[in-house]
Amino acid sequence: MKNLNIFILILALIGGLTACDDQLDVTNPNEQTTVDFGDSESELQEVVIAAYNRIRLEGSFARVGYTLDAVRGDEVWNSSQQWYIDYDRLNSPGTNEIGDMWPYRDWYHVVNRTNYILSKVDDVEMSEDSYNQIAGQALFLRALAYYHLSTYYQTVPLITDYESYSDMNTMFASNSTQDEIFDQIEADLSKAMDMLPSRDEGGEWAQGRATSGAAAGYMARALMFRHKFTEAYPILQDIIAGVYGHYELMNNYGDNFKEDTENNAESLFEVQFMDFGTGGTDEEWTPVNISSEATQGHAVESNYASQELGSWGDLAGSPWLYNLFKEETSTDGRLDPRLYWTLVTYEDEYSNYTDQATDAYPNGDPRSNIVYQEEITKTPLSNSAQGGISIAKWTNARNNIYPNITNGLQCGVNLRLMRYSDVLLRAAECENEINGPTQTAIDYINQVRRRVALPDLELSDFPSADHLFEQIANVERPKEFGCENGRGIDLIRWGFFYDQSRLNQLIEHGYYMLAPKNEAGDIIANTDVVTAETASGSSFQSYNPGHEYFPLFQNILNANPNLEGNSANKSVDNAPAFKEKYNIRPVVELE
Amino acid sequence: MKYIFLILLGMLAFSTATFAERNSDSEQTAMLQADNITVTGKVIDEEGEPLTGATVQQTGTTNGTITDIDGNFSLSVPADATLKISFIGFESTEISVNGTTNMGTITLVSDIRQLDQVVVVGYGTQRKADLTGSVAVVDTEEMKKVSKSNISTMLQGKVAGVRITSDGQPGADPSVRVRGIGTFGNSNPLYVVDGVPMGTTIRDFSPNDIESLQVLKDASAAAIYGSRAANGVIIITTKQGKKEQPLRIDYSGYYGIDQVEDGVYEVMDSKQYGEYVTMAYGNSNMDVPAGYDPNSSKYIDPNVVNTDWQDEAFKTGIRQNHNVNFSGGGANNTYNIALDYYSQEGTIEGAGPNFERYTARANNTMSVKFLEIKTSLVYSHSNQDNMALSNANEYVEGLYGQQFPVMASALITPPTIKAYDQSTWVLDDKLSAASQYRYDSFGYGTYYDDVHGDLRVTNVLLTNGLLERNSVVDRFVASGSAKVDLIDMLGRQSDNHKFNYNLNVSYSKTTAKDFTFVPAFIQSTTNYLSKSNEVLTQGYRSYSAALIENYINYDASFGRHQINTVLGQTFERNTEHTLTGIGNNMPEPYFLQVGNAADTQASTYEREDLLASYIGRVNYNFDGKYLISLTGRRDGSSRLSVDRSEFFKSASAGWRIERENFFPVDESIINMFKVRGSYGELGNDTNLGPYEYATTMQRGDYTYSFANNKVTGSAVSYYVNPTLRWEKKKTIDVGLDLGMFNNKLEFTFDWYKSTSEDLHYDVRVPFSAGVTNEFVKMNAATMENSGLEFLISYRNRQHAVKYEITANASTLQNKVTNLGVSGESRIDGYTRTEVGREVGEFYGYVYEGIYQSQAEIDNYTNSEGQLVNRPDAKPGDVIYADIASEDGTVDENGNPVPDGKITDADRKILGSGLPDVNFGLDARVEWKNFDLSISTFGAAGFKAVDFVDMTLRGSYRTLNKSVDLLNAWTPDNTNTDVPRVAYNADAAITNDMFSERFIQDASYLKIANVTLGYNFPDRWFNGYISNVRVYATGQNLATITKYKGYNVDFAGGTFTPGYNYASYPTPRTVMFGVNLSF
Repeated sequence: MKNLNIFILILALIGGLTACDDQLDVTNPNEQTTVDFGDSESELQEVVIAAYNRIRLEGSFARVGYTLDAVRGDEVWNSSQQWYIDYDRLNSPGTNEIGDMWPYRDWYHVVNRTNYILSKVDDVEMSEDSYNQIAGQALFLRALAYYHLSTYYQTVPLITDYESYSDMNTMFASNSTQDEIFDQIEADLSKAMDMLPSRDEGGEWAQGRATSGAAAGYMARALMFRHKFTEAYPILQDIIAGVYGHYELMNNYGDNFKEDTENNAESLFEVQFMDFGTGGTDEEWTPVNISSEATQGHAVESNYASQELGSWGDLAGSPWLYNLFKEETSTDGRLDPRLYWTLVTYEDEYSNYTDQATDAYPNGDPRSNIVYQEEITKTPLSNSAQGGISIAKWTNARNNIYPNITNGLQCGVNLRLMRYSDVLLRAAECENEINGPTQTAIDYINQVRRRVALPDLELSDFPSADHLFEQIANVERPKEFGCENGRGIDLIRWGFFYDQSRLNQLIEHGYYMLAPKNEAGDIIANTDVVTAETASGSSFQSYNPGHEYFPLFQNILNANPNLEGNSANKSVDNAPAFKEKYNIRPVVELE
Repeated sequence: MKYIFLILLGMLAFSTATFAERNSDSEQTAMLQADNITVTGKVIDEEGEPLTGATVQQTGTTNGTITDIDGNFSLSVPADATLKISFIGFESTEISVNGTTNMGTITLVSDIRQLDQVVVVGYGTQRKADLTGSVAVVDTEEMKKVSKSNISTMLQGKVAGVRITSDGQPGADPSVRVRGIGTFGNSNPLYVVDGVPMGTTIRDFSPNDIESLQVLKDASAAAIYGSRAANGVIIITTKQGKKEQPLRIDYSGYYGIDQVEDGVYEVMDSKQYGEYVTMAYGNSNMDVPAGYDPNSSKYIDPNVVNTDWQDEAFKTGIRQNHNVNFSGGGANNTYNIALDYYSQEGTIEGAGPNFERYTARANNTMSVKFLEIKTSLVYSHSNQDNMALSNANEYVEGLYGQQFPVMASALITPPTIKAYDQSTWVLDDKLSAASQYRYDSFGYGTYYDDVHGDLRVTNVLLTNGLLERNSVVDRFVASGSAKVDLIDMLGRQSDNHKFNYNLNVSYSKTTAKDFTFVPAFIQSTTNYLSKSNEVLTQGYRSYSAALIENYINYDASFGRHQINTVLGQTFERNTEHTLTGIGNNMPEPYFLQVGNAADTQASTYEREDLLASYIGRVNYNFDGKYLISLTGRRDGSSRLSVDRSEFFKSASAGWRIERENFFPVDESIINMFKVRGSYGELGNDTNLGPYEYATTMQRGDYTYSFANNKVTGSAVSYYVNPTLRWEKKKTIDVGLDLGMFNNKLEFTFDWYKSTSEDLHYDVRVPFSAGVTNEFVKMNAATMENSGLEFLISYRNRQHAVKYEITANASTLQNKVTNLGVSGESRIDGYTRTEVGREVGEFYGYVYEGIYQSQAEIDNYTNSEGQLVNRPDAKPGDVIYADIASEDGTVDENGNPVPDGKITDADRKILGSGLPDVNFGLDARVEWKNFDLSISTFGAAGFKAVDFVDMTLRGSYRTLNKSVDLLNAWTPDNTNTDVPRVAYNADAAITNDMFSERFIQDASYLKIANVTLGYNFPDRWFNGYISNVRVYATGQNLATITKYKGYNVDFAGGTFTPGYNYASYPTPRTVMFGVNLSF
């Protein structure tokens, strides 16, 4: 018996010493872990900023994420014939990181940060206003991310719950359909429209942030991608009516492309970059580093500007776009000011405009032949070896704030992602789609034309909705938004890749000349109309069906066994599926 | 040298004054020979049979007798004498008389290897005969005769299934693999010293302290160590004093010289090199540099400058070891105090490599009534100078230009560069940048662009002479254990029951001080460390490990049933703290403290690891015939979050068939025939960091701006897997133990198959996760290892020539059966790991010869008869086989179809880097007082690629080359297998792409150790000293292999097992040693 007692005593002793599992909890003394983060309003505000930070990466808006859509379109071609070539020609094999991977990777950074906010925000005590601001911005940014993911990569995984990242099954997510993704985008934006303050209500806070107006504008974009014109139109009308704050066109079209007129009354949303020279010193190249001393600039200028004037010389405006501007003039016979702000060409007459009162600029015309603080006497080459017309937008070629381009993530001109003129032209498009060509539609368009002193359109010139559509799609929008991100998405939503006559039209728009020479044998920037006979080629001749979207990089597929390639990976023609759902307007001749 | 003896002498005098006193007492009594008494006794063997003719001798004298037919003896000796009883075939024993006249019965233990040998198996002991798991008991007798610098290398070639590969660098930790790699993380086994788990490295311990060594190989044997034991367990017990033994002082020491084998690589001398350079530049249509143009004023006369860099860089190294051991004991206590000094001066000129270690160990046992207490204190101090650049590829901040490990540099530096050149102290007239330096190249030779061409190589003597990298490690381990005999405590007595409670505590503290200094120098426009970039790093690392264990042993026997149980609990806490200071831009003259630098930075780091476990084991034995063992251990680790505790279990059984009545063979022929089998599971978490399951925040690093006002934010940037579980290794083992002719012949066989599941593997993070890290650890790989192991030994001590031969061999098949989430294969340099195949096989192009003419290039076709397009190839270039299409096209049978192009897709698996068979062969012979032992080991069936060999045989650039390249292809020398050489590879497809050309057959047999010893008869020394032995040892004497390169037994990487990246050459060593006792 005594033995037994001793035995029990020993067991008790052992048992007493073994309550050790609790002691296995350790805390990391070196770095803060997520365990004790995200439980306060101020910490969530920090994550909101991190989410904004991710929209200015190379794959989102600091470079290729922005320019890829332009080069996919018909207004821009790849004058260096490298780096962007697979996306200009629409036939990437899925092994080119810059377009097949970077935007995918970087936009999912935004998704991750916003999912974090949205998973935490309900459990943190804060005022309703704070809640609406934090959650609203996260919803807007998530929708922005998915909008760009799905318009670049078609069928991507839809991850909306932060918990998904800690579960093997949901982290290795499979593809969602484009419809599922757009359903989510619409759901997020409709909430954000209600939650966020307008730019008027937000005041100083709203400078550079997502507002209800931004959410509403993107809602209209998202709806129109799926031809939901009847739903988009009232939202656009509300924006015009000032429901989401007061918006108006700037008198000077050029104010949309300068540092000192950022976040103006025309701007619904823009990516914020620090003005040239005011950012830090670290260039955050890919793969993305995190530096508190980031330069906070973009490198679109390094791709868009003239190589002759110091850029990398990658992208050029198409001869079609240039000649589109030349087809009609302002009421005083002068050139459309938008040509000046869109492309860098030498135009004799610019020198005669300078400081004159012109119809477009009654208080003094800013146009001149001074580029990067130097007077030019001929159109500079986009690419020194291949020629091409360099692009003025998102560069300081016209702003003349410095004499030499500093290549890299340095340019400080905020990228205006959505302008009031887009609201007006989209309203016109919706009106035309719903009611056919009407004076209301014409009036929306004329507002945009009057700013640059182009003569009003007349309803009588547009016998059918097809005619007014043609005017909007191939005249008004390219001239207003030439070389801005969005043309490629427009071509997809209009079904231009899925109709042979439309495709032929794209091929015509895409004609370019490689290394054209003058009599002296020097390479020149050709501004003449290029035809099938004179062209070296057109980007759209090599279009491989399915490749209006970009393929997923092979490593993306390798890393996730549940993920399938998209139409570009499989070279599957999206035309039948598109035609089943949506109408493609036929090509019509305009007067 | 001298100092060491002084220090040892000092320690001896200081620590053991009382022992020394006793020692002088015994010397006096020995001389006086007064007060003799007559002692009687009986000598028997283990079976109880009396031993006739055994020698009974008073130690240190010639006074003695032999036992009669009944084993009895009677002898007149002083009252405090010690008797030595010896008999052929039995181990001698010594007992103290202590005034007793009747010594009782003295049992001599058979000299022949013991069936009843007791083996330490973790939280208990077991008779070797009763083992059911796979346990290798290492014969330490021989080891004790030959000193080794490192415990791990003592095992080299000794144990079937244990492969030890090593870098020859002094102080290097060898890689020890028990039955292959079981994890992608740290695959070294767990070392348990005197019951205390010491982690996976025991460099800080002295091999001289070892008393016994066991290797637990299978899951069942190691199961009691649970999660620590997945890579095997090496159990070490250290020497203890004996009870009732007066002070005994043993000295052992040796002195040896190390030399790097000469002529392993044959590189060019200046004359040959000049020819080569002329050919290489000529083939690239470039003018040969002035130094090789006999018409130039800058011509380097090969008779004047002809540096043999191997001679300059390699020197004779020296190693020595001195060990003094004090042991003894009273009725209730024993002590063993060992002092050890080991030093090794490396074989390369310069600041390193060198290694020096001091160790002191004090083991004590004390017993009173039912209580037994053991204590052990170990202190060690080591000082290691590393090389400027080793093959670990240390990053040296601010060092520009191409850098190679020191050993490789010594082979690839052109002979036309002077080793030393006083004119390089000032290079200002030759290099404009040199004007900013106080000293430019410090008198070391350099190259000049206008003389030697653009070489981009730094004088290896300069880097190894100027760069200092030093680590000083102090380690203190204190451990103690108490054993309470509970039955005795209650005042009961029982022969059939034993019930003990054990408490083990241990604390280890290790402090390391790291010092690195890179001074400014300039050799050329590309090889320099800029003046403002000098880097001084001083850091302290502090580690602690605390362990507490409680367990009970209950042993019982009921009739023919025997049961042994262990039940207990353990808890372990490991901590680490580091503090590092870095100084950049040091003013001259240099005073090497961080504070003197213009720019300083400091960092600290802390971690804590905890492990809590319950252990349990039951061994059951019926009549010594049927043996069963069940083990379980539940481990909880702080490195895991969910499922952090896991139960690991094993079962094993054995059957002694020879004990069955029906066994047909007589016991005198087969005395042991045991079959055994086991299955068990073990865990592992060594591939994980301490807080790897918890996501960390990047605070304040995310910037943005609103209306040009900068703001900062925070987010999770680095994704971690919060649901990591234990790695699990499941092993099944079937074995046979055979003993014949009273164990003169022993044979052991094992077959095993282990499956390592849920391995912690770097899985590619899906890009849709939106995080910065490309890889994350997941339980996402499975690997199988299986093999056969044989050990056979034959021992014959019945004749004048006594000998023992042991041979072992083991096979290993490795197969990765699951890798990552998507089964994506991985490429690491020249190797590839893919599902369904062995880890890290060589992967490259198939060599098809050399193009002999432009016509052959233009008309060369693949197996489909399609032209292989090689537009840039020239006659003399390597032909690679076109075997597959870039786009992966396959025919209807799934075989790749070639596409007429040489692309990445044309690479294929070219061979294994893991040996199919490892083996060892040891022989020992004794004749009279001489003994000779030879040990060899080797491996067969694997391929290796040697970085230095590849570099020396590379077809481009003008670093020094193998003399083979003089036979390079030229239009006049077409009958050769050496492709065309050139200064530049001007095509994308080069001659140096990794192909079969660089793969070598690495099978080898290494004569690792030959020792010849002589044991002096004690009587020569009149009892002043005894057990005097002198020996000469040759280590690493010869390697029989086709492999060209140092260290065919190099330690490769986990995913690159066959790639020898400039492993430091293991030197050939000759040592002379002495052992003696006082």
